[in-house]
Amino acid sequence: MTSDDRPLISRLAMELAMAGLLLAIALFLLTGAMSHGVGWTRSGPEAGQVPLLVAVALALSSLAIAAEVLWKHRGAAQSFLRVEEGRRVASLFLPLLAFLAAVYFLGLYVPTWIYIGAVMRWQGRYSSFLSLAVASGTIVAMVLIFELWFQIPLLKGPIEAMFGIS
Amino acid sequence: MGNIDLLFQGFQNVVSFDHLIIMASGVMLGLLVGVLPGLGAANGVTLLIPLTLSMDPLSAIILLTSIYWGALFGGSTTSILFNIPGEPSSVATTFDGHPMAKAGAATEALSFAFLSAGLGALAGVVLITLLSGYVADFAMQFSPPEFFGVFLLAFASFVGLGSSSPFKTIAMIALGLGLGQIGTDTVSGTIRLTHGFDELMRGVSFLVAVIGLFGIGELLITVEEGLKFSGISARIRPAVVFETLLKMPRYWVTLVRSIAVGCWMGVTPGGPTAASFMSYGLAKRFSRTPERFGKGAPEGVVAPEAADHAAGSCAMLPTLALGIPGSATAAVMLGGLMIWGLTPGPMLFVTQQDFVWGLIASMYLGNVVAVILVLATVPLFTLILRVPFFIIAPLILVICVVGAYTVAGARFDLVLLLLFGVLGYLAKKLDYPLAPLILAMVIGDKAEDAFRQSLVMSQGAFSIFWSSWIGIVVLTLAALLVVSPLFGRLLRAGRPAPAAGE
Repeated sequence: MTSDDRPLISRLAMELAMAGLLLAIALFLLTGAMSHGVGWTRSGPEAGQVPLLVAVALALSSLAIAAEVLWKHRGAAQSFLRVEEGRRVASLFLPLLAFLAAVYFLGLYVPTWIYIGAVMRWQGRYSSFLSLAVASGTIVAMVLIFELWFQIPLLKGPIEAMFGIS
Repeated sequence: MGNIDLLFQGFQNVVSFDHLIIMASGVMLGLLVGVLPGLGAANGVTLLIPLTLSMDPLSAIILLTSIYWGALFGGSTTSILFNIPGEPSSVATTFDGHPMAKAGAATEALSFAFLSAGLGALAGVVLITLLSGYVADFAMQFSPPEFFGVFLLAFASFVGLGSSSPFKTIAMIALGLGLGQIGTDTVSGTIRLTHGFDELMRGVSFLVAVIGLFGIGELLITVEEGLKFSGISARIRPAVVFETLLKMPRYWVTLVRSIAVGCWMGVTPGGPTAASFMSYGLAKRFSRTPERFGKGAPEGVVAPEAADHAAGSCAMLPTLALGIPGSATAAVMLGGLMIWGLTPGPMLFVTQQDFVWGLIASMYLGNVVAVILVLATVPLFTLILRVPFFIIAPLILVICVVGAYTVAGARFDLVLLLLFGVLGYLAKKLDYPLAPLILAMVIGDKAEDAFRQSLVMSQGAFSIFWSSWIGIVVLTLAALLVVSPLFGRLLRAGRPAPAAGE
């Protein structure tokens, strides 16, 4: 399991990246807040005032986090992700990414069927029969639970439309 | 104040065939999500909220709370048998539970866990029964400034009681508040912070956030660590359960202390996870034989379990009476109440008496049902962990994706789901706490309303927040809580920093 222990990303780099991300979100919120007025009117504080305070708090804390991790991890080369771990995360994340992209354009049913079948067949190395059975069973369960029982329509795409299902 | 009468009335409303069926299926679903890696209590409850819209509120809340109880028990089961905490709050149970099971005392470990958990939960519900009426009456005197003070206190307790860096906690609270503000401003009705994206006009749903953060994020962590189930099969023998029950009185000190810790951490929003760790730590510190801990000491199972469940049920007290959830799962339930059109807070006790007391009555019944069901079905659920990863993982992800879509039927939520999944993974790995983020997203609007209404009342003078004695007490407590970790740091400053990331 630990055949490849080389570090892929250092903890410090990742901590700083996360602090940077939070700062970026803070600036996104800050510019939004500024465009709504941050002052006082007769009906109370304007819509942007509280968001401004929150954005400032987020910006300040992200800077404090950056300072804190620089102090805490100075000199220590701690790893955030090793090569082997990165490989494992990617083996779950990349198929998920493809699945979500497919769902966005094709609806839930067809991509779900392909996703479960493909992951089981090629990543799990199960027989084609079992993979097909679980994938098809999931689709049937989705129809039964959502469409029929709880009457919540699930996202459908162009492929369903070709068969006249919407 | 007639709490007992109201409780009996509640029982009359709850005890029906339908409700018992809902309770049992909720517990079973909860056990399922508790056992599965990546799905937890918060997630299980979130995934079902869209399905509860067609139910009456009492049935719906019974379903959700039953899932909660089931998930708590399911989490402990996997902790003991597989050394895999199904829930963050059952991490502390692995320390002694798994060694006990490895030493051949799996049934004892499970019985200790379930019985002390059941007792902890029961104590929590008794506390709710006794106090909720008074808390609600007391909260009736609150006006916006006091409410804002209490919201602030809720956030401050995360900063003060949390185990991560206080700056990271503050950042997560601010992030949650900021995300919650996207969309329609509840006071003025203007659309704000969307930067022109139409999809953001509806706001960022906390339900999608929970599914992404806890579901996808958690699963990414699980694969990274490399799943290795080394399970111990367990058959529950009734005789051993009974023997364990007879042994319980021996640990009454641990039990009482753990329940007290759990109740305190549940009422103040420290949450079940912090409660179980703190209770385990205290049990070890006060033990005459601390060296037995970590090697299979029964106290090491009793302490975290009792505290975990006491905190889990006590978290419902501030949720109902003040509208301030005591844990991430309670936050999701609070969101559910609002979706069903109920306004949590003291008025709920006046306008929705049947609902509130029905819920409290159902908590008694639900926990008993949960203990019985979990004892009966442990062998079944341990089988689930033997289903190979490449079948379970895609199924869990499909459940998350379908769940996120059904929240609002919007494709854009799938994009948010992915972003929250990545955020959850990073936050977990970098020790950012997730519960405050959810809490802030759920109650952010109400906190902002209270803040702005107060300032309208005072014509912009901030002194209104400490104009009453309640305000002074609450704000002082909040300030102390925020400052407390800094003091702890100063005290430790002389010593070298502990290995980070542990």
